[in-house]
Amino acid sequence: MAYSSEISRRNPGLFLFLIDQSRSMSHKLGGTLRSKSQEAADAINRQIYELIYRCTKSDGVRDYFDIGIIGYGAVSDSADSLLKDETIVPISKLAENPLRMEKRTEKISDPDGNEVETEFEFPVWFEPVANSNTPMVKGLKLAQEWLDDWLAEHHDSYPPVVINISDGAATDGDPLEIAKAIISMSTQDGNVLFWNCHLSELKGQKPVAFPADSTVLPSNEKFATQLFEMSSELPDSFLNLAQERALDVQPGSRAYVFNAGLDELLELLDIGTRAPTENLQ
Amino acid sequence: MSKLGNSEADCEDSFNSNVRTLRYAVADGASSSLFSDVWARAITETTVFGTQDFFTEPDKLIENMIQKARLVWYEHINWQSLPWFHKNKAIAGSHSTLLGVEFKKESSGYSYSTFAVGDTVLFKLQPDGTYESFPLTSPKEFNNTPSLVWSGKGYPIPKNVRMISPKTVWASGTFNSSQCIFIATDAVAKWLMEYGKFNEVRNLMYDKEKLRRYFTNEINSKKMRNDDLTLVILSLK
Repeated sequence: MAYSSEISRRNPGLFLFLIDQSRSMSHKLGGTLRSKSQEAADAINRQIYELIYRCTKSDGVRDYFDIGIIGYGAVSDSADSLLKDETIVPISKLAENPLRMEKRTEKISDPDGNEVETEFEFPVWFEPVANSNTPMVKGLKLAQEWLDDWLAEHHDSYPPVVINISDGAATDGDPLEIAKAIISMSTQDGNVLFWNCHLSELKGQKPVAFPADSTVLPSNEKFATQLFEMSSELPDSFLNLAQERALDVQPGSRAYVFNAGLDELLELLDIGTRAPTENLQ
Repeated sequence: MSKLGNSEADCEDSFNSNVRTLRYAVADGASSSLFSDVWARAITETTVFGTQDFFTEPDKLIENMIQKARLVWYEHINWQSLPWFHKNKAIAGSHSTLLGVEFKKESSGYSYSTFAVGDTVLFKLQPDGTYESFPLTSPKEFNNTPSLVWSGKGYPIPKNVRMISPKTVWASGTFNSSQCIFIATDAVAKWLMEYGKFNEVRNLMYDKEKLRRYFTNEINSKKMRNDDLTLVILSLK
């Protein structure tokens, strides 16, 4: 059965995040006070934090996962790693080398139910950028190169999960063919899972989450259908997880949200990263 | 033994005994929380070396055990020097199952009093191979959310806080020289219920390496879940 490999230090999983850094990402994400680039960067930093949390044991952070982050559009027509001087790295390396730490607070309860505000350190690995055009094809090509190298050494691993966050169409060509090429890559446990999250800046715009049929997408937005075709069908383990959360999914549902607000972005990232962590050894 | 693929130091199970008071305890630290190995050791230690009698003061036993164990656990961790990823997770505390048993000499054989939190199981094996088990009696009862003993929150919550006692179940019985007691953490316990290989395991108990190979085969053939394994066998001579 596909997508059932145990994730261990010997056979780690891979999460590869791709982020649109085009100028339009500086616009506010629908229903929030911050820009799409800020919310996307914060959401991915938090997701990496969560993954590290799950990999943290008494002896340190165990390398159950490798992580890569690609940004496209910070500089016109180019894509690059957002981790300084690194491509794909073991998760323990990220834990040990955040870009910076910031102080955050949370409320915790003592045994008598009194809430105590405590300060904790939150790591940041990359900063939000919204600058140029949308060279998504270049971003996907770079992802394909990294995946090629990684897959050559991880035949038995859980298949890589690639999550692309963008707010518009590619400006450097048609990304569909290269996305299909990425989806056709595989380990012995199944094909690469390609997720797409399209961010919306309009408050109240109806998100379309995990569609099984492209006809439910707005017909006047060509890239809505394009992103649908670029997205993997959800395997059973992801469908089950989404169903447990009362999300409207069915066999054939795609790993895709169109017109996502913050809630949908977080939900997509959570489901996309949680199902594999249930296979941790 | 540790989960296959891990080193012995990674094992989060704990066993402790006090031969003077005939107390035994096994704990299975939850791998989802941090320092569960430290917590599992703390609760087995305070269970077998506590001053309360298992037979007459069950509620006080749990209350005292958990309070003392928290101090042991809290003081063992050097909170100030933890890196951010340890500090942020350790504040949530540690969790573990626990099973304790105390034996008392009677005119013929022994009586015992036992308690459990979670899915660590005590079996009383009869000479004909039948058994009684506590607190679980069927492999279907094992799941991913057993009851657990919680250490309480870590720093900056102070170490001296009121502790909440876990939901504990108790049982008692008698034990004679024709019988045998097995105490097993969940993966072995479920396997014992499913395959009933009590005698095979008992025959291998004195050869640790053979037993390790035997369990490794069972795990590799998918009969037993790959997990930290603890098995204690008690018999009267």
